[in-house]
Amino acid sequence: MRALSRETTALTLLLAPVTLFLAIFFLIPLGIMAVYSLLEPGLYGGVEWSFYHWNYGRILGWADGFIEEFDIVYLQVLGRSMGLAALTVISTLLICFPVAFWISRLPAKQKNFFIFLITLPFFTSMIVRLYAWVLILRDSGFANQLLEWLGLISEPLDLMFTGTAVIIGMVYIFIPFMFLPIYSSIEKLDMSLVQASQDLGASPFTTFRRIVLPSVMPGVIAGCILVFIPSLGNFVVPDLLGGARVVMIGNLVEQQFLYARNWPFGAALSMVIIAVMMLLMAVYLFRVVKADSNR
Amino acid sequence: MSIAFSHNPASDYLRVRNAVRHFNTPEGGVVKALDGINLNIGQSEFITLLGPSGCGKTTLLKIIAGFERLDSGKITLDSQTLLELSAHRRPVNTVFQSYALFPHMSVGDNVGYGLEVAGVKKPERVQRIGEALEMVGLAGIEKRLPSQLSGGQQQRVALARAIVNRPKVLLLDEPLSALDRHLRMKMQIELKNLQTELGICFLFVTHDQEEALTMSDRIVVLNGGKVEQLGTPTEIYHRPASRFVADFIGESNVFEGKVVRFDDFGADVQCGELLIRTEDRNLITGSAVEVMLRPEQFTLLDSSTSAAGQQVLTATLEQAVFVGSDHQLVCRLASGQQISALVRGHCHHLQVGQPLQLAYSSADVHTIPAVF
Repeated sequence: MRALSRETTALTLLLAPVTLFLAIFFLIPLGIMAVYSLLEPGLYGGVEWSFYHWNYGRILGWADGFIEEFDIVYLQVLGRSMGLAALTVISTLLICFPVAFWISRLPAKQKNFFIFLITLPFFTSMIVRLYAWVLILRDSGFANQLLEWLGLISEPLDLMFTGTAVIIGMVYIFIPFMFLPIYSSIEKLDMSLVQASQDLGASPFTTFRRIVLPSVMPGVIAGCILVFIPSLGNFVVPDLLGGARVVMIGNLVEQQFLYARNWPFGAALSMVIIAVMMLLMAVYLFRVVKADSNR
Repeated sequence: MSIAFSHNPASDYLRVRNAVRHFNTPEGGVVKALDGINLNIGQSEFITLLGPSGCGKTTLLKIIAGFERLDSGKITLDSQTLLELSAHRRPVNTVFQSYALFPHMSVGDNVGYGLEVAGVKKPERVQRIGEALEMVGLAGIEKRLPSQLSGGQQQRVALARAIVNRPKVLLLDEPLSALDRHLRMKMQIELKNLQTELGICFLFVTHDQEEALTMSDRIVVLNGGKVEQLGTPTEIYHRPASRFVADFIGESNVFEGKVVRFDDFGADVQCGELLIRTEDRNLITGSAVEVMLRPEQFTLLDSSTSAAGQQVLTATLEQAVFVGSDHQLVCRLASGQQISALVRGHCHHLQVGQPLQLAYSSADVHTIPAVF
């Protein structure tokens, strides 16, 4: 009994710093945002301390009734952002899944080398790496020069400041987040299960669908979540590679806080992003719990 | 059976011809996993591939299953060439050492997997799953998950999953190695009974010689990628073809010597100071041979028993160990060679350092041609 309480004390002490840290730097700011999203914007930034529901009204299309007209532009931006984030998830998944399989089959030394290569970008600033993509994608950039040299195009392609550029940048940034969880689940895959499936007469495709996929699914889902959440709120990539032509929900938040100085509206937009993510997570968790209880 | 067959077609069911498989080691060497293997196996035989680790037994099994390729050679099953078929098209099934049960599927789905991918309809499938589970003594556990079963039960499910497909050959890759001794011995007998009941060929890989002797119709002793001997358990035990087989299967006392005299009834072999009589009539004077005696082929002589018609060795007792029904005596000959004898009865009066008279029959003496 005494040992147990000592253990509990030790656990409390060990967990205290991280709990405090999260409370101070995550929960309290989140609370502030939630409160701000329901306040009136101040004239020169800041907030007026009176309840104001038009921040959310504006997002859903109903303007404040004085200057603006009914317009669902913000919902459209949210929809487009979700679409771009989903495309990023699908692209990274399509790239990482086969690569992770391939790497997992290599001898240990080469494996470690490739894992190192995949995590290498973490050692450089993301901004620097995105500017490199600007150099590659702009009209006189590397991509266009190469294509022209190969004779595939005569006019430079319009790559910069397009949705394509944003997708390329996002996929590039988030590949490690998709790769690592998938790789670790493939690495854990018991090859004797694959052999057993073949042995029992299942074709390679059936083996993949019935044995491999269910085994690596947790890694795939983890990867999808890890990519979807930061891509949905991302504003750096669309800023640098999408310019003013591709505005994502993250850019809207950034603009409201830094340029329009409408903190409550920015806070409300942030709350909507958080709500969308929590909803998706809840659906996923619900399905996991249901699948577990079916067993 | 057709008269055109000069050989017994029944033992021609699974044929392995000149199977060669070499592996390159990371250090740049070559491991000869299979170095020209030839086998003829019958349609309903229980065959054990026995040998030390690295002898090629598991490689051979994997090649038959289709998980490993052959450098050269040929394998036919029921007159059908196997090597061109990919693993999932071969009419063989494997019981894996790790069982390899699908953790996300119930026992019933595991057992029915092969039937399902073969397109067997559900009612028949359910019935056959039930029958297979009943055969391995696990009726009615279809709904459970593999993780809810004990090691022994998982083993049986793996077995049911393989036999439910009625394979032409069942391959078993050291399936009992993870079980405790008691359960292992029980499973050995059950496996043998199951094989007799099903009447299909079992190809069983093990490094455990006791297991091999207990279950097999015939044993293939492998060493360094070559077949050392293929024979019934009795043949392998009493008439080992090589020194390796003699040493690997059971305990043996081997003496190296030279034939000094032979006649119509056998030969005398001079092994250092010992002259050993054998009834082997295929020896000629001057040839180098090794003679083998199993520990249980010795009897202990005392003042009351006579050695009429028997050969006698004199040795000094070094150690006597009670092993249940018998005593294991470790003795030393005058030449310095250690020998082991397994004797029945009371040995309490024996004292370490005491000279013993060990008798053996010349009919028991087995000779192995010495290889230089």
